[in-house]
Amino acid sequence: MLPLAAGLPPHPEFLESITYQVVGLVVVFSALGAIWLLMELMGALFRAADARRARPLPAAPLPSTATATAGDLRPELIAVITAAVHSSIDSAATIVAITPVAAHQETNLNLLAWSSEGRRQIFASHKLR
Amino acid sequence: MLQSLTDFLSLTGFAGITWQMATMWVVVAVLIYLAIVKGFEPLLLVPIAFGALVANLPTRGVITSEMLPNGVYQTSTFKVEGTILPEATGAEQGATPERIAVKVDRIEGGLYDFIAQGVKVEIFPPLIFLGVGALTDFGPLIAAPRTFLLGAAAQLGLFVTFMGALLMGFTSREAGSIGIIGGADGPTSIFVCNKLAPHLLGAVAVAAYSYMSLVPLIQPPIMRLLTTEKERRIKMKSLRKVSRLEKLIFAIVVMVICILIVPDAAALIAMLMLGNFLRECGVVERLLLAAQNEIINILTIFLGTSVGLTMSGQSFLAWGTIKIIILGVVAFGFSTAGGVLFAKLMNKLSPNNPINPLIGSAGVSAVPMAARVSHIEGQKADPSNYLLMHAMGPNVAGVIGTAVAAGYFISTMK
Repeated sequence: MLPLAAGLPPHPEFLESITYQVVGLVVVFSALGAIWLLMELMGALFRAADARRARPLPAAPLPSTATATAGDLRPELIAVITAAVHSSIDSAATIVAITPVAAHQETNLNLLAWSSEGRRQIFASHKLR
Repeated sequence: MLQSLTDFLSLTGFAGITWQMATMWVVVAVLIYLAIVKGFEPLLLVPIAFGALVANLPTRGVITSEMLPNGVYQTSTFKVEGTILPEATGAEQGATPERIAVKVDRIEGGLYDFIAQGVKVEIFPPLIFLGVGALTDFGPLIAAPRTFLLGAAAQLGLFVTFMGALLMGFTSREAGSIGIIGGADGPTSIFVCNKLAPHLLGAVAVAAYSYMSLVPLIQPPIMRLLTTEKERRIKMKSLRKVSRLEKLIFAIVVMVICILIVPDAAALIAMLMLGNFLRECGVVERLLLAAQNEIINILTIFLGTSVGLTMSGQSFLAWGTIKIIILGVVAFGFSTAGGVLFAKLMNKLSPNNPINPLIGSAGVSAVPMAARVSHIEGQKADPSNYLLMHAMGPNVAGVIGTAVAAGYFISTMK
C-alpha cells in the first residue's frame, strides 16, 4: 500500500502512481459522496416539512357573496375583463372566477382607500434598502 | 548626426524584437480573434491576450523576466536595495544574528512585478473564489444532489493526466500541477501549481485559462462521440424549489466536510462558501455586490494580464511548455468523458429517473461555460429540451470536486 503520509516520491513506480490515482479518486468521491448523502437527507426533511405545510386545511365556509359563473355573464363582459387583465398583467394569467362587487363592499372599498393612502405615505417615507 | 541617430535606434525597442516574439504575435492574434469575434470567454481571453502581447514586446518597467541557469523561466521579481543597520552587526563578531535589520532604500521593479505578486503569494485565487461563490447559485445542485457524483467523476482527467505527465518525464509534483488543468478551474490550477511546481506557473495558468475559454470547442465532439441521439434527447424532471435555509446550511456543511477531508484546500473552499453565504443570507447586500462585481472584476483584470505576461515567446515556445499544453487538452478530454460516462452508468443503475448524459460533461468546473455547452448540445438534439439548470448542478459540484482534488495533491506531495 502506498504510504501517502510520507509523500509521493518525485519519480514513483508505475504501480505506485496507479495506486495514487485510485486513492485520489476515492478521496474525491468520498468527499462529494458524503455531501450528496447529507444533502439527500436534508432535502428529505425539507420536503416533508413542505408537504406538512401544503396539507389542505379544513374547508372554510363559503363567502356569502355568490360567484358569478360564465353562464351568468355576457360573453362581451368576460372579453372586456379578460382584455383588461391581460393589458395590466405582463405575464400570462388565467381568470378562474369573476365576482361582482356587492353594494356594501363598494362602500367599504371607498373607506379603505383612505387607509390605503395613509399606508402608502408611510411606506413612501422610508428609504427602501 | 548619423551616428547619433544610430545610437538612438539602438535604444529603441526595435533592436529587441526576436523571432519568438513575432511568433507569439500570431498566437495573440488568434486569442483576440477567439475572444472578440467568436465570443469565447472574452472576460478571460482579452486580458490574457493583451498581457501576452505586452510580454512579447521589448518593454521596460512592466515586468522583469529572466531565464535562470537551470532553465527555469522566472517572472515578476524585483530588487530590494537596503542598508544593514548597525544593531545587526553581531555577525561581524562571529555570532549569527537570527534577524538582520535592514533599512530599505529602494525597491526596483516594473508595474506587474508587484501586481503579479497576488498570483505568487496565492492571494488572487482564493479571492476570485470569493467572487465565484457570490455569483453561484447552488440551488440546482441542492435540488438534485446526485449530480455531485458527476462533479466527482469529471475529475478523472486530473488523475489520468497525472499519469501521462509522469510518463513524459515530469516529476510527481509537476505532474500534479499539470493534472489539475483537467479541472478546468484557473484559480485552483494556479493555487496548486504555486505550491507544487512554481516554475511551471506560466505554462499551467495559460493552458488552464486558454482551455477554459475553449470549452465550447473541446467538449462537444467528445460529448457527441460518447452519447447516442436518444440519450441526448432525454428530458429530465424539473427541479424542486430550494429554500434559503437549505442554501445556508449547504454552504456550511460543504465547507466543514471539505476542510475536514482536505485541509489544504481550506483557503479555496472557505472563500467559495463565504462568498456564497454572503449571497444567500440576504442581509449583506453591499458586501455581496462588492464580491460579485468590484472584487472579482478587478482581480480578473490583474490575474488575466499577469498570466498573459508569463507568455513570453522565450518560455512559451519551449518543448516543456508545449508538452504541458498537450497534456492540458488530454486532461480536459478525459474529464469530459468521465462525466458523460458516469452519467450513463447512473442511468443503468437508476433507469426510472434518467439523467441526460450531456450534463455529465458539465462536471468540469468551468462555470458556467460547461453547463452552457451541455444545454446547447441538448437543444441541438431536441430544441424543446432545456438542460441549463440541470447542468448547473454538476458544474458547481465540479468546482468543489476540483478543490478537493487540489487538496489531495497538495497534502500528499508538499
